[in-house]
Amino acid sequence: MTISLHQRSVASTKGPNRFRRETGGTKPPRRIRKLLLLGGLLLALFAALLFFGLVFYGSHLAKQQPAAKASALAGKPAPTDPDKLQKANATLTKRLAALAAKPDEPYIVVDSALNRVYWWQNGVVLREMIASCGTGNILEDPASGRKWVFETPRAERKIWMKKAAPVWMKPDWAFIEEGEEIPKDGSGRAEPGVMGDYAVAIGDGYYLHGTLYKRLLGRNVSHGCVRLGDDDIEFIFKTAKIGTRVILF
Amino acid sequence: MRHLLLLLLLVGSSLGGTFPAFALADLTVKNTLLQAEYDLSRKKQIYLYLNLEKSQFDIRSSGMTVSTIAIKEMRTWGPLPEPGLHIIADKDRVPEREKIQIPPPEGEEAAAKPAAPVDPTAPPVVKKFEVHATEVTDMPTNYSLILEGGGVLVIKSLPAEDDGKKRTLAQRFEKPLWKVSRALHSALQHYKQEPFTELLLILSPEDAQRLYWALPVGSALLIPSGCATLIARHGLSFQAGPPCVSVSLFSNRR
Repeated sequence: MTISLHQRSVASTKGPNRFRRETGGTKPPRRIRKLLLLGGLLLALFAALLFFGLVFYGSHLAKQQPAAKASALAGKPAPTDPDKLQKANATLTKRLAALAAKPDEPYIVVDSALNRVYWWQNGVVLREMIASCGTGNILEDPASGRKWVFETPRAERKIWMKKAAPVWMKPDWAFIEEGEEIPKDGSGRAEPGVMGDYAVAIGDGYYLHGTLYKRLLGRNVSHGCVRLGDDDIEFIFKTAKIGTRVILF
Repeated sequence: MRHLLLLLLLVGSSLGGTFPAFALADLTVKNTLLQAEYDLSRKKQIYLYLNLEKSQFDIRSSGMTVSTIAIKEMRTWGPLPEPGLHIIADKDRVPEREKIQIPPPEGEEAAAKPAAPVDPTAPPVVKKFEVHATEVTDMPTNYSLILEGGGVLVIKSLPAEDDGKKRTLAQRFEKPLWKVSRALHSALQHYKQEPFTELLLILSPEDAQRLYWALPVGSALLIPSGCATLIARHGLSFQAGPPCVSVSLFSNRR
């Protein structure tokens, strides 16, 4: 190993452009010297920029500190007495806990990103269901200037109505989407079977309901409602009560 | 040693009969946060909570955590966003939503296009069903969330190191490059007389997309006063608002 290293070293010093510093030999060619100089200059410029960046950053921090301190403590006037603050915090924690679901109270969570519905009870998910949530598409009617966004809402709602064998009352957008004329009265709007066997209303025209398009479960294809498979919507219909929370995000 | 110093400070201040200033500031911030969370819960709004202790975002409603999004790494440049309620004022890289075209009335269409002759021998055209929707996979994986008041939450995604995929050179040197770029950007912003602060969160690509989906413009984000947690976990040595001031005295660990 030693021999091979020695041989390599000897061989390399024989190169025509080798700069032998220790013997005061020939200088590197002009081109290399220029490159080295340019590299050194760039490095110096970069170091200077970095230095000034850090200096300015430090001064910026020093300026920010009092402002941050003042504004963090601003806003709603909070008590300045530590005892009062501790009591106020304890009261707020209790009030917040009162708004949360009781341990045995079931609630439904709809994850519109993953197209999943979860049945929560006692702090665990008891049932996971595949759903179809809103497409997020926008429908604009140039004639009337109306606009619809087919999104599943993001809010906490409650079940306020349950329907077996629901009939879909076709809204205006459904007619516009299909290029049909909007009926002046209620006739021609009723479409039985489209919403499956069961539906539960969560307000503002949004429902959790069954679907004819089961192969599309797991995709965002609805107009904002939450579509579920037959077994899952039956489970919700039979298990959930009026007033059960539905948390959609 | 740090803990001993902290203990001595606490004991000393309690003997002196005064409430430590940083503890009072911490209580005040906690009060602000609780009040904000209570108000959001009363309005039945969905909000996100930056849970620094568990390094995750909690998606919450009525004080209940209904889902979580894991944070792999957290970096800051400049002071942290102030603890409290923040509203997402803007987002970049908003994916294009599909606008459904309304066909013109029949009369106009017929006038514009002459009907094509139908070939009776041609096979029937079977249309393939395609889902036209904005789904979570359409969301960006690297983006910025601009908070009301000017703070910026930068979300970056890096694949997990143990997922078997070879990391690119840019991914390997991502952290030192970030530090250098921020220093230079700070200098530039200083000339523009605009303060520059950034909180960078690194998530997995899937989680970054889920977070983008869960945080539409106008949604609420609660940031706690977790400076102590951040410093303990990441060895940061910056100063960032009242609750951190006392803690950063002991943050010489690197």
